[in-house]
Amino acid sequence: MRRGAAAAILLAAALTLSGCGTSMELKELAIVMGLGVDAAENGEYRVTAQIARPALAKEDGGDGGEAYFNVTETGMAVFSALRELMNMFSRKMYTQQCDVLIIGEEAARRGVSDLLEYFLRNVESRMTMPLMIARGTALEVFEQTTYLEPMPAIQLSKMAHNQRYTGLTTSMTVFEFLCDLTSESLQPTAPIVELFTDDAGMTKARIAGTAIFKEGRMVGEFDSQEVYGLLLVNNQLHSGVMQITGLDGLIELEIMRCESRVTPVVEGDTVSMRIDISVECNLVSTTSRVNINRVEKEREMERLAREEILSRVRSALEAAMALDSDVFGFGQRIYRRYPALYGRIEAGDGGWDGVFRTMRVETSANVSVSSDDATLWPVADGGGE
Amino acid sequence: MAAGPAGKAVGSEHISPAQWTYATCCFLMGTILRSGFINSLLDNESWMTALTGAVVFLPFMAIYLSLVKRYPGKSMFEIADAALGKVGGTIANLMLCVFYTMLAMVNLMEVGAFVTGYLIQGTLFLSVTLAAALTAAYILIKGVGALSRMIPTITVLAGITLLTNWVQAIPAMDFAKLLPMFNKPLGSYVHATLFAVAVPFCESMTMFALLPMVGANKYGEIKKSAVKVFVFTFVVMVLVHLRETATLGSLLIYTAIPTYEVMRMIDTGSTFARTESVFAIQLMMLSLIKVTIILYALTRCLSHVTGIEHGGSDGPGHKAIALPVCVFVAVYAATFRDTAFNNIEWFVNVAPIVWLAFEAGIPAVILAAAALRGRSRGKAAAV
Repeated sequence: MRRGAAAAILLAAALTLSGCGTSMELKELAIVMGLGVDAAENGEYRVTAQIARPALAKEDGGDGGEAYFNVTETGMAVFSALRELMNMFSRKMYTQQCDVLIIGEEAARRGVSDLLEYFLRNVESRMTMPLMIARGTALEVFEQTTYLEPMPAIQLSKMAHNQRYTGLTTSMTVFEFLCDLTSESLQPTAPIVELFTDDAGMTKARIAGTAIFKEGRMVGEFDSQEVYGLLLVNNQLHSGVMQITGLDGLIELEIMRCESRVTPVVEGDTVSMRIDISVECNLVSTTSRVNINRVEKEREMERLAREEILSRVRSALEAAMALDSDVFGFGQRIYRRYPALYGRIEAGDGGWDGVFRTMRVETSANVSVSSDDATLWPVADGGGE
Repeated sequence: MAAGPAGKAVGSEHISPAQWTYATCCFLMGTILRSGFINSLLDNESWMTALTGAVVFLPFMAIYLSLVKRYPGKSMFEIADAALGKVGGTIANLMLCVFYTMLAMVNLMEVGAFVTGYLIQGTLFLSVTLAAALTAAYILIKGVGALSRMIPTITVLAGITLLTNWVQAIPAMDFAKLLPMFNKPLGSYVHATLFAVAVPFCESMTMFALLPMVGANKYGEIKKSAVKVFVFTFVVMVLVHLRETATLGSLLIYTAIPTYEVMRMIDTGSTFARTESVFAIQLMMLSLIKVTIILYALTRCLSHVTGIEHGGSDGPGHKAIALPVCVFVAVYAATFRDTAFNNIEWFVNVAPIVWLAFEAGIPAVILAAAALRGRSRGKAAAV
C-alpha cells in the first residue's frame, strides 16, 4: 500500500511535470541566442533573432559567420514577430537559451514598456539576460564581427556581464530593468553598445555610454564621467580605474572598494539629500616623476582623488536633473522612509520631478590611496626626485 | 470509521502523532508556497500577516485543541454528531461537505492553473485536474494511511529545498524593498490578517479527518504536534514572504505565483539552470498530497452523512464513493475555472468571510454545544 501510494503520487507528478504533451526535439528547434528589437514603420517592431548552428559553433570563433545566422521579421509586437519568423524556416523558435536582449535606440526612445511586457509574461524567457541599447539598430549590432566567441550574442552577453567590473557603464538585466521601471520614481538605465571599424576594417561592437530612461522612454545618455558618478552614488562601482591629473603627471588609481550612503534630509516638507562616499584605491601607475610614496604626496593624491570623485558625482547629478530622470532613486528613498511626505510631494505642483529638478544635494567623499610597498621610486629617465 | 478501543484505530490504517505532524506541515506548506493572494492586499508588507495571522489564529487553535481533548480520536464530523445531536450534526456535516468540496475545487484549480500556465502550456485543463483527482482516488481506495507514512520524507525534502532556495536567492535580495511600512489603510491590514488566518492557518482543520487514524488517548502528543505545526507555519510564511518581497520588490503584485518568479531569478552561474524546476516539483508533490487529504476529508464526511460508513467497522465506507467524488470535484474545478486575476480577486474577498465561517464558525458552534451539553449533564448528575 505504501509503495502504491508513493507510485501514484510520483506518477501523477511525473505526468504533470514531464511536458510530454509538448515535448520538443533538438532538431525541431531554432535556438535563439540573442534577440534584438528595433522600431519599424507604422508603430511596428522589427525583431531580429540570432539563431545558433550548434554543430558549427566553436570557442575560437572561426570566421564568426557560420556558427549562427540572423533572421528578422516585423510585427505589431515581439511575440507576433517571432511567430512570423516561423514562416521563413522549418523550426520552432526556442528562446529559453537567449543570452542577450538588444533594443535599438529608436525603439528605446519610442518606449520599452510594451515590448518588455512580453518577457515578463512569457514563462520561457529568462529575465536574467542582459539588456542593452544599440546606438543604431540591434540588427547591425548582431552583424558585427566576432573574434573570440562563436557568435555576437554570446560576445555581447559576456561584455555586458564584464561591465560590473569596469566602472564604464551600468550593468542591467531585464529583471533589474523591469524592477526599476515599475518602482516608485526610480528610473532605469541600460548600457549602450555601438559599432566601430577597427584598423583592419572589421566592424566590431563596444560598450559606450549609458542610456537614461524616463517613464519607459530613453531621454538621453550619460558619458563616461557621468556614469562613473552614477555608479558611485548607487553603490554599483565594484571595480574600475580613475585617472587624476596632478603632482606633475597623470596618476591612475584602481578602485578596490567603494561604499556610498545616501541619506534623505527632511525639514518640514523640504527634502534634500546627503551623499557620503568612501573609496579605497590602489595606485597602479603614474607619469609623475615625483616620489608619491612620501606621506605628504599620498595626502595630495587623496585630495585630488576626492575632488575628482566629487566632480564626477556632481556632473552625474546635473545631467540627471537636466533630463528630469531620477536614476539615483532619491524619490524612492523618500517614499520608503517618509511615504506620507512623498505622497504630498507627488500631489503638489510638478510632483516629484519638480522637486528633483532643483533638489539640494550635499556630497562628501573620503578617499584612501595606498601604493604598493614594493616600488619605492617612480620610473624616470635618469632617476626620480 | 469510528475510533476503536483506546490507542488503536479501526481497520488497518494507523499513523503516529509524528506522522500526523508531518502531514499537517506538508499540507500547509502546499498553501504557503502559493502566496500570491496576500500580496494583492498588502504588497511589500505581506510578511506581516505571518505574525498577525499567527496571533489571531491562537483562539481558533484553542478551539480545535479543546475539541480534540473532549473527543479524542474523532474526526470533526463525528464530533459534530456527538455535540450537536443527530439533526444538528447532520446539518453541520453537510456544511462541512460543502466546505471540503469548495476547498478541493479551489486547490485542484490551482494545480491545473500551475500546470497549464507554467509547465505544459496548451494542455487541457480537465486532464490535469482529472489526473490529480484520480491519483487521489487511488490513494483513498488503497488507504491514505500509507500516504501518511511517506509524507515525512517529502516534508523534510521540501523544507530542505525551501531553505536551499532561500540561500540561493540571497544575492538577488534587497531588504530595502520591504519599505515603506504601515502606510496602507487599516482595513487592508485587517483584511490581510483575516485572510492569513483563513488560509493557511485555519485550513489545518481539515487534518481532523486523519485524527481517527492517530487513535484516542493521544491528546498530549496532538497538542505538542499542534504547537510544532503552528511554529512551522509561522516560520515558513515569514521566510517565503520575506524572500519574495526582497527579491521582486515592485514586481511582486505583477505575478500570480511570486515564488516561481523568484526561482527564475536565481543564478547559479550556469552550474544548475532553471532552479524553478525544483520548485515546480516541490509544489506539485505538496499540492497533490494536499488535494488527496482534502478529498479524503470530503469522502469521509460524505460517507458519514449518508450512512455508507456505518456498513460495518471494517466496511468499505468512504472508499466506495472515493472515485465518483474525486471525478466530480475534478470536473467541477475544470468547469468553473477562471483567469488567475479573477481567481485571486474572488478568493481574497471570499476566503476571510466564507472560509472562516466554515473553518472557525462550525468548530466554535460545536464546542459551544459540547460545553453546554457537558454543563447540563453535570447539573443533571448533581440533581
